[in-house]
Amino acid sequence: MERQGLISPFQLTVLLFLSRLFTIMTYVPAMEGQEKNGLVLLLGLLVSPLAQMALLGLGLLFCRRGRENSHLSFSAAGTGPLRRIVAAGYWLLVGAVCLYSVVGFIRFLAEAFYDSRFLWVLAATFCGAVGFCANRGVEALARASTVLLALTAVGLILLGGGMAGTADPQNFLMPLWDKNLFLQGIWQGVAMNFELMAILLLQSATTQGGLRTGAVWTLLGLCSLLTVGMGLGVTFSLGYYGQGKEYPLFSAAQAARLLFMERLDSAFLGLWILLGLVKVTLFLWLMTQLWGKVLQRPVTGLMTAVHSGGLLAAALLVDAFHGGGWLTRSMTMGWVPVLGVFFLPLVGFSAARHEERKKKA
Amino acid sequence: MKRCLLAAMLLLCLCGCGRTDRIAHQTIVTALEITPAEDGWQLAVEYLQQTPPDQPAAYGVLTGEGEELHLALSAIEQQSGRSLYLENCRVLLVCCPPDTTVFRQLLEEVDKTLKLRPTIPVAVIAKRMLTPEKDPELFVGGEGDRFFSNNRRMDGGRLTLKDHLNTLKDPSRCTASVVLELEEERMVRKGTVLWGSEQAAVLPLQDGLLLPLSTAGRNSRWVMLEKSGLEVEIKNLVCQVHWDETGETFGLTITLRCRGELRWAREESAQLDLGEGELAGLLEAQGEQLWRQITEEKGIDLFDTGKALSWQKPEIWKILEDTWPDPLGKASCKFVADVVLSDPSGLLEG
Amino acid sequence: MKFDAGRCSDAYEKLEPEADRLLPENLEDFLVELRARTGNSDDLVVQMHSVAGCQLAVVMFEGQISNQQVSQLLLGPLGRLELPEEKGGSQGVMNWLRSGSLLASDQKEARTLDEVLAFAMSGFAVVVVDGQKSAVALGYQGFSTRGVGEPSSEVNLRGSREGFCEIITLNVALVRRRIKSGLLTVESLDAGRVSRTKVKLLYLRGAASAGLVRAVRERLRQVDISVVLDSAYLQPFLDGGRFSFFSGAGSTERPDVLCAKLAEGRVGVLVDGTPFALIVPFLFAEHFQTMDDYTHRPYFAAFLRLLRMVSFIATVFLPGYYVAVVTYHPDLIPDLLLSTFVGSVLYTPLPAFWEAVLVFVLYELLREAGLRLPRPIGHAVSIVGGLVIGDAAVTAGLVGLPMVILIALTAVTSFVVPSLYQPVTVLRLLFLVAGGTLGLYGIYLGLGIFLVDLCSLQTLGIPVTAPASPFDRRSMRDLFIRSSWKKLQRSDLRVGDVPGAQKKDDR
Repeated sequence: MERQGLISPFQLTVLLFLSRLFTIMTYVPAMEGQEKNGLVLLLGLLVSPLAQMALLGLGLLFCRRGRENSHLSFSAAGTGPLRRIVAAGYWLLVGAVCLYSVVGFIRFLAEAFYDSRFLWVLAATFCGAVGFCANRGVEALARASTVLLALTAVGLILLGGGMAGTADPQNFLMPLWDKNLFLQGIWQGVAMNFELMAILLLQSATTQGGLRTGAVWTLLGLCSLLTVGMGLGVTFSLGYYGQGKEYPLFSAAQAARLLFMERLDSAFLGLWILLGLVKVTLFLWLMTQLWGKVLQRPVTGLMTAVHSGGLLAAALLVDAFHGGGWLTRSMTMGWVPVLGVFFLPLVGFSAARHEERKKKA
Repeated sequence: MKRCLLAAMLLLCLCGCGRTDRIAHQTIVTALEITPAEDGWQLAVEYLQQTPPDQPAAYGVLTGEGEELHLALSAIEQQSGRSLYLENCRVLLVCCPPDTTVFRQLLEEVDKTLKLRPTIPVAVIAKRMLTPEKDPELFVGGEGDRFFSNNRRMDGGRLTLKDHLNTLKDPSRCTASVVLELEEERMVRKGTVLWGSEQAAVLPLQDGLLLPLSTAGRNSRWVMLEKSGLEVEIKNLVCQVHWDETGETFGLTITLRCRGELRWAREESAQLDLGEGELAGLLEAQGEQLWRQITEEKGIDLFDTGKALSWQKPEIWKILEDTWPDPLGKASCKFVADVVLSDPSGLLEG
Repeated sequence: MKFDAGRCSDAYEKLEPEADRLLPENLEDFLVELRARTGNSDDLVVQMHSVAGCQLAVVMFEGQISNQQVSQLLLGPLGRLELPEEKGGSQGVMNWLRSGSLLASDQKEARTLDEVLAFAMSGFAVVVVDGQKSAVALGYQGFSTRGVGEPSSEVNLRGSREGFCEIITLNVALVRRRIKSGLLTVESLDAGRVSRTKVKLLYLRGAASAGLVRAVRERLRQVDISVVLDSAYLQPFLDGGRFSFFSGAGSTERPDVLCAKLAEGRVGVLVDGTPFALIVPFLFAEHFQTMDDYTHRPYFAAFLRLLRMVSFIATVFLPGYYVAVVTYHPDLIPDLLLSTFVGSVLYTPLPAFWEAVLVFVLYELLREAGLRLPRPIGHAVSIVGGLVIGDAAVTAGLVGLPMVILIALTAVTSFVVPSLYQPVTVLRLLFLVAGGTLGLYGIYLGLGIFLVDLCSLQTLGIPVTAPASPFDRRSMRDLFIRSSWKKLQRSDLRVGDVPGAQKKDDR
């Protein structure tokens, strides 16, 4: 069949939503504050879209001034060295997100479902699948995400209903106001939102030149609501049992029951795999596109395969050196969105202004 | 290039071909019994024997000991020659002395090491049940299955691992478990164990005693009224806490507003009115007596008043959280009973 | 006889058609070339006549024409023909053949030797007049045909019982009868270097985009096969370059289905010699639609559509899911069934995965045998396969009863959507491998890969997964459900307007 065209804003929104959902499933921050006013943390997360939008707005502002010189536009021509440096910077950031997602993905499977001795099989098959899907292009992924959205909705309804069935109001802890925890919640919402960077990078991938403001607000707001909802669900469902669990949402899924269905953890497994596939495929595709910008060459299947293989090797290395925990702590610090959404566009913006001044002079 | 990727993936998939008979190398455990001993752990498992599909299911029992839990498990695996598969375990039997600390540590160790499902029911037993000499038909795989899954009267198996750990770690709550024992090939209740945050108390079965049989989540209690032959589940128990800021202690008014449902009637001619009146009287008369016995002597927050305080006065709860049994024991208490019973199963005549 | 590869290759070289040549004016030369070109085939009939002072030859092939029509409508009038002297001669006879007579309703002219042969092989009687540069072909087809019968591959409860046949002109007539509009356009092409099979493109002007029609036409012109015997020969050329389990061109044996698709802006391709017409483009969701959906009540039609979709999912995923659960996730098995399932796996010689593959292969063997054997024996194969092999295998402990039940259920569900039987069979095996080796992880990962791969497919610029993805709300009324005709009549659905379709000129 033939190659495809661009994607619609709706498809991009769905794609980013599913990608973000995987991060939310990986990391439910409320359980960290379970004993210490975790609900205040969730309140901060609820308000976090404002901060995310502010950061994104700055990034878009830097990108859109001098759009013809935008370093992020895939259709932009030119081989200026700064453009390649910016692309390389994004390549590293996107690669970090890919690696974090893959490591989290395989660690969970090895811990919860399968023998850890076969972790390399899980990693290899997953990276191979991701490489295959990335090779199909972002258009195919975006179309598939529409179908996966329906499946995800079914899965979330099952899980939500199951958790509601085991929720106990006795697990509710009345929080005391803590300003630091509230700000921490706001920051965590920004720090774990790697899709802000993807919004910038995918501006030129849609048929209408990027997402509208309303779509971005919907995306950020919905994700925050889901994060808070999941945090509340885990709190009410598990209570103190959830403390110390590395995957509290999975524990809540194990404890959930809905009508005649007593085992909902397989529903969680399905969500985990499908959403993980979407997220890593999207970011791997971005990575290969950025590498093509760095080398100023068109992206080939070999490039995708090499990236997929490199991701596999990196993930296995991280696991071999027990670096998963360190990687998680590092990624939650928030340097990825700050660099990707603010710093790099600022560099590009400054360079564009510098060029304009030189021309005028 | 795409074909190479696909071929590589297929080859990788085929690497797992050797595991296609995985289930043949595993022993499916249907019940697990744990007994902490002085020098370690004693474990017993009831497992599904490998019988042809046209024959009824058969079960066996294996036992093992070890200094650590995983060593006891390994001992059993060595006996059977296969690894143990615990995901199908239907009940966890715990033979544990009435010591909250021991009980909590046992369950935490089980949760960490064995990684059982959080929804596995936990039953407290007085003596070890799963021994190779006993008939496996009595247990989960046989007649016992009816006991643990269907018989709500014998409610010892209703609380799950998650429920227990949740309440054991919560200083504002108390858990009650029915203690079971196997007598003459029949499962009987021997009493109730109340697990407080630090202390535990055993309450034997007595006629007419307001006996909290178990806490089954959502703040419910089982109460046995032997005289009238009724057994009632009390739901939606509401506790109001009044904090007397002028003094060093605080006052409690425990208003027991209950919606109860009949669970079992011994005699066909038992009357609901009598049950309602009797229950209200029991709650008021014996409630305070039980309160003093359990709360003052044992420091166990029988009616989860700490939880009520944490909701109503969170700033005060933050101060009292770690030493709660002490002020609780000194608190004055007043009981008001308001009971409405229903008979949804039609156990009574008329 | 010793095999001589050299002589064999020489013979194959002659399979390639010789270059076409204009008709020689001299009748003798024509006859010599004709016999040389046909290798003196015995079924070539050449009748020589002298009419109005000139020689002419009537070229026919045995069995292709109606002798009675030729005698009555051609040879008779020719024999009685008398032309005035000034209007006589070969030109006079030619003029009479062209316009001065009504010898046949289907009359054409041939200017080359290939055209003469093509017409003669298509049931025309070709009249070649000495001294003329062209010949007149008169249609007197009289070959035996199967006729219009009930379609065997697409059975409906309600609706037309007519199906396409092997004669392309009849098939066009079946369509024309149902769409009595001047917008219905028929274009003719030839396919096959040697076979010169007649191919006709059908489309509705105004519904089908010009770009789509142009693209189909160009793709068909690129076909370079020597012999085209079925529409399936042309199907890969309409799909495109990349391998896919699913074809972008569908097929149908029903004229009413083809008409419905033409009304949605698609292009139909009829091929002479086969009752299966191609429909381009063919979306994935259409595999779950039948003509019965539009004759049943909407609620029942919706139920049937959902049933087909569930059947597709069941037939593809169920075996792999069962093997995955039994092998890797026995905790998902209900307690009551645990001992039965575990016993069925442990007390058979093969692991669940290989047992499933074995039963699956056995089933396919029986199915293929039943298909190829004559009908009376085919029934016996079903009985032997089902009762003897199936029951005996279970009793002997070679396979487990749950597995036999599973494969039987899978087989039944695979026939609910017969147009997807080929991809379903292979996909089922792939998911079986995925589930048997990687468990539920393999199933879900395979599902993700399958979805992405399916969504990457396009046919002539139109996404195969439309209108589900890219999503089109308006098209939902005829996707998972079938709205009533009162709603469907509000606006016509056009395949070229689905979201994600490339611009018309880009295809």
